[in-house]
Amino acid sequence: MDLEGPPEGRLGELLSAAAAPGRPHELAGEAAAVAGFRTAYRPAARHRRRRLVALAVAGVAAVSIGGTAFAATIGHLPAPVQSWLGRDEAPPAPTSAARTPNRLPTTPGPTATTTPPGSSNPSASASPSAASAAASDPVSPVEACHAFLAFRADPHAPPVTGEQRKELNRLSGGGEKAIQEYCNRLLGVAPTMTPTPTMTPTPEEPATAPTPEKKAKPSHDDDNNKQSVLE
Amino acid sequence: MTASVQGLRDEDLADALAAAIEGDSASFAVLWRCLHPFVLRYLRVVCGDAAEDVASETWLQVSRDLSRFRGTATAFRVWLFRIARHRGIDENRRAWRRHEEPHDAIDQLRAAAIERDVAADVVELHETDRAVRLIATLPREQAEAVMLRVVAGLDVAGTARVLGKRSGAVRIATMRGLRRLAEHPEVRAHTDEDDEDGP
Repeated sequence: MDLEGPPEGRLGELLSAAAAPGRPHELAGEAAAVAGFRTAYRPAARHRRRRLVALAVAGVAAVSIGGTAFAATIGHLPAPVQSWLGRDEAPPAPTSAARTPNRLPTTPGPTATTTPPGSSNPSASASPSAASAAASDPVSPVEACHAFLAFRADPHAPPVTGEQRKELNRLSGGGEKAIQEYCNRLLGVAPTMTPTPTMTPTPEEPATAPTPEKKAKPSHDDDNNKQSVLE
Repeated sequence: MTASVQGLRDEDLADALAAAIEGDSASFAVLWRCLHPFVLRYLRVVCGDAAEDVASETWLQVSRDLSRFRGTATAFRVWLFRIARHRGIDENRRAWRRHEEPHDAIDQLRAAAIERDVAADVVELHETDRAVRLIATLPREQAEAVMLRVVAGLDVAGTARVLGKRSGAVRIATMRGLRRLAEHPEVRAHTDEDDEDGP
């Protein structure tokens, strides 16, 4: 080995040693790393949705802050809020709107009634994704997923096509496997997946989407499944 | 001095990468097994004993952002080591702040360092650890360039992107680092021993 080493002699050996394949103790953390991946991974489609939700929340917050500033000028605010605004002179800039509602607990805003207590991520959970859903969601992902999974389980069931299929592709990133995983996560089917924070802003929450012909098997009860997703 | 040293080919990683981007955890495990040892060794050079923790943070960030990653396996490795480097630098800043506060911290640090050196002399280190330790004694810029080129198997352009430097600077740092390593007493001592023990 000494004689057949790289041309650089001892230096070559040193470099080979530094780049040697992983040793058992270096690979001991695999299970933890994979568990971390399962928890932290966020499908790409969610990012777009989250940004939309965040924008919607920011917009709502900006409106409510504007209302607060207006109310402050007529002196209709509780004393602490009034003094806080008075200290700062100028009303808060819209760019800080997303953060400020926490400092204004008494502000009556559309978000106040719908925010679940103790939620960790205000931008993701503060508002039901009504804005984004209304803008881009004529198809209910839950229904589409039921139809998709029904078809996977039973080849005689009608395949998912048209708008439903497009929506599933969009949400999952595309491909049978991705859709399957997305639907498993959405409906809480997969036994290995514990609910993660990414699941809280469920797109079907508003329940306003006009649903196309139901294709899933009658045994699927929509409300029950919705419940499991929300838990 | 090439990626082939570690038997790590990007075409082997491409499939695993594509599936991991889709959320497949088994494929993520493949990426991790292939690349984690080198991330860990690189981080030993960047942030010493914090390497394990920082490597974990690095993979968590990769997990979180992977679905948005678009690129080849080569680009993925560049991305991975960039994240590792930034995390390592953050950790160094935190450690610096921690150690600035108490008065006798520096003495404690120094004592710990001496202890470690003694331990290293007594316990026979695996040659891989010894090699990484030796590379870590180089000036920081050279050490990182050598680790990224040789251990991580990145090319000059990829290394330059990780380090935020120009390719020319990477070439020079690597060359100087290797030259310095070749002149290192430990490397020369071994060469002499080999000569004496040789047939």
